[in-house]
Amino acid sequence: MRPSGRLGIGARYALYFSVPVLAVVVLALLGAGLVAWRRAKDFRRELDAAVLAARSADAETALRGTAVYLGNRLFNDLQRVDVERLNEEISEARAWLQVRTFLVTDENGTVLTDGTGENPRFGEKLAGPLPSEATPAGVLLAERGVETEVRFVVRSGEVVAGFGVVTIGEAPWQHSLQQLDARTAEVWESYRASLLSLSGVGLLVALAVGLVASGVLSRTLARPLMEMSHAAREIAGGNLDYHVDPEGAEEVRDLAEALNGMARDLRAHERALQAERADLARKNAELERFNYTVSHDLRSPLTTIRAFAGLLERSFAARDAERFRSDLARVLGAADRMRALLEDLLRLSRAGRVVDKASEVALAEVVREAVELLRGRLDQRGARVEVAEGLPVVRGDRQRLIDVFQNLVENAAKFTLGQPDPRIEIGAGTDARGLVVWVRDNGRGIDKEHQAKVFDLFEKLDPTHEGTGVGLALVKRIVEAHGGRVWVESAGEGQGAAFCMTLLPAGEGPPAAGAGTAPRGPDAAEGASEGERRGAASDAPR
Amino acid sequence: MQQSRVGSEAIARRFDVLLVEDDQDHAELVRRCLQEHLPSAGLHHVSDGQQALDYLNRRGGFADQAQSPRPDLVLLDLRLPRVDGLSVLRQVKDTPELRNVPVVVLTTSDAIPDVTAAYRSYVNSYLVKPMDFARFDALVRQIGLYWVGRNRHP
Repeated sequence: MRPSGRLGIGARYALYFSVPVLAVVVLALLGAGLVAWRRAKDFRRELDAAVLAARSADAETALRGTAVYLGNRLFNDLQRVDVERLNEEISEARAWLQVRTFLVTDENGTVLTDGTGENPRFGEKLAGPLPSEATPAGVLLAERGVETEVRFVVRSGEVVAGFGVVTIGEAPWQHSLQQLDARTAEVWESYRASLLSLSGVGLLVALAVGLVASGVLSRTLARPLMEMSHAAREIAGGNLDYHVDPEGAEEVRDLAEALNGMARDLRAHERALQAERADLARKNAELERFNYTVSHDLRSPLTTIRAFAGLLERSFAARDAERFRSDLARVLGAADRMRALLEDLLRLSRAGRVVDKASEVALAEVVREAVELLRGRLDQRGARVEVAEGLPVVRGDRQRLIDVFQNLVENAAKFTLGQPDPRIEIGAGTDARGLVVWVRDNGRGIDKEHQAKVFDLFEKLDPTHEGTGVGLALVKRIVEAHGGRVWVESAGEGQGAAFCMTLLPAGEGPPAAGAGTAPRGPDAAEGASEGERRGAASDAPR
Repeated sequence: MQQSRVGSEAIARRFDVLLVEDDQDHAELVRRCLQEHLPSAGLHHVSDGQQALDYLNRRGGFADQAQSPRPDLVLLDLRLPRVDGLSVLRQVKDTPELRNVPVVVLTTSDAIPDVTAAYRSYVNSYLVKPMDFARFDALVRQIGLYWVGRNRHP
């Protein structure tokens, strides 16, 4: 249904829509994240510095305080130079103060003890400055790498007993700083986590928006369009019954309806074309048959003429007068047959070109004339012709109509051959079909299967009868050229037959009442002659 | 004009021909020529396809063997009323008892579809009636020479 490898139009447009939105969201988040991260870094640095400063200050103060406190505590023991007591104090101090080294010196700066029993530094002269009177609180702080050295005065009041030197391995504030580091790292982590989750949510939102957009687009645009694209392909491929349900956006619905309309038109055209083709095929077949028959029907008499002409020679030479005469008669007879056929064919071709459809013709006169033309033959057979009163005036070509009645009466005469009391009735009436005129006989009748073919060209129902086989076909052609239909009704063998036709009445007024009894209307299934069926199918105006 | 007749044995032997022809003039022509060249041949003439079938099947008016002997040759025109020539041919060739009666189509039509159709139904020969009398006469003579004189019948 979809060309493989390509996304449907709905998906494509959803993509066109959601990808830029997604990109914008992601970029926005990234930008925000970047800015936030930078700021956080700066912030951290500042925080570290501030904390460092604060803590250093705090620590310094604390240390100074501690040093002063220690200075006071150690005074007595240092004054008495009680080394054992000093060591005890140092050990005590070590318990709550993180010291690496603890030295006590006398007032000259000579080391007295370092808190241990071995006392290896005893007597060592301390390098570096010692707190003096001017030193605030008598405490000197010095940083040596990661260590801090605190030198303090051990005194009581104005009396100085000596000095103390303490090195602290790790500044307390460095420990706190590490903790702070850890804390800010945590904060930063959580910050990053929330940033990521925010991006995640943003992504999902963008996806959701994209899906919704895709869904909406699909329903209003993409799916109807794909439906129609499919329908268009089907219709182009010949499936003209395909119908598209209009849905989606208004313009799309209009398009669907236009497509349906187009398919309908195509179907109608196709049907019309097929009907035309069928018609053409039928006409071609007719033409074939016509050609074949005519060629045969002309060739046969010609053979006769030439052959018997040759025989004439012989009978002349043999002085056989009898034979000569009979052979000559045959020649002339054959020539007559050819002439009759050619004349009838000419009349047939003329019938299609009805000269005057619009003039008003009194049927009564036409019938009278036609019967006159056949007077000789009718009298010969003792056939009676009864023409109903009040035959209407119709619209048509006078001469052609005479041909029609001449042929029909002649035909009726043929069929009543052998009847003891041959009777031919001509009448008219009006029914649902309009004005109907008929020529009825009480002759042999026509059975069902032949009723269909009776109007076919060259279809002679009884070939022993004279005739070119053109008569009824001529009648049909003339009547149809007048816009009417012609058909035969017969109950079957021995029941007579009625040849009926519809004609257009001229002027107003129905035919006079009592103008003969109307024949039964032909049923759709039975009794309908080929002529009538053909008439229905022809493009004669109804 | 050819005076010769078909061989003496042939003359002596009885030969029956069924002519199926609707044109009376043509039938007369065949009768005369056959009279000329095969005087001992019995010519039986029917004018339409139904009669032809009735004759061959000994139905209706043709039940009498003596009056309507089984033909040794059928001359068949194609365009016939009631039952047309081709149908007659088909039915004859479909009937086992009639199958080996030689059927020779004698017609005015030289149309290829007609020839093809006839051979499809196993016609024995297809002849086109010449328009000239001399040639017509010659043809009938040749028919006699061949089918009576030369051809062997079962």
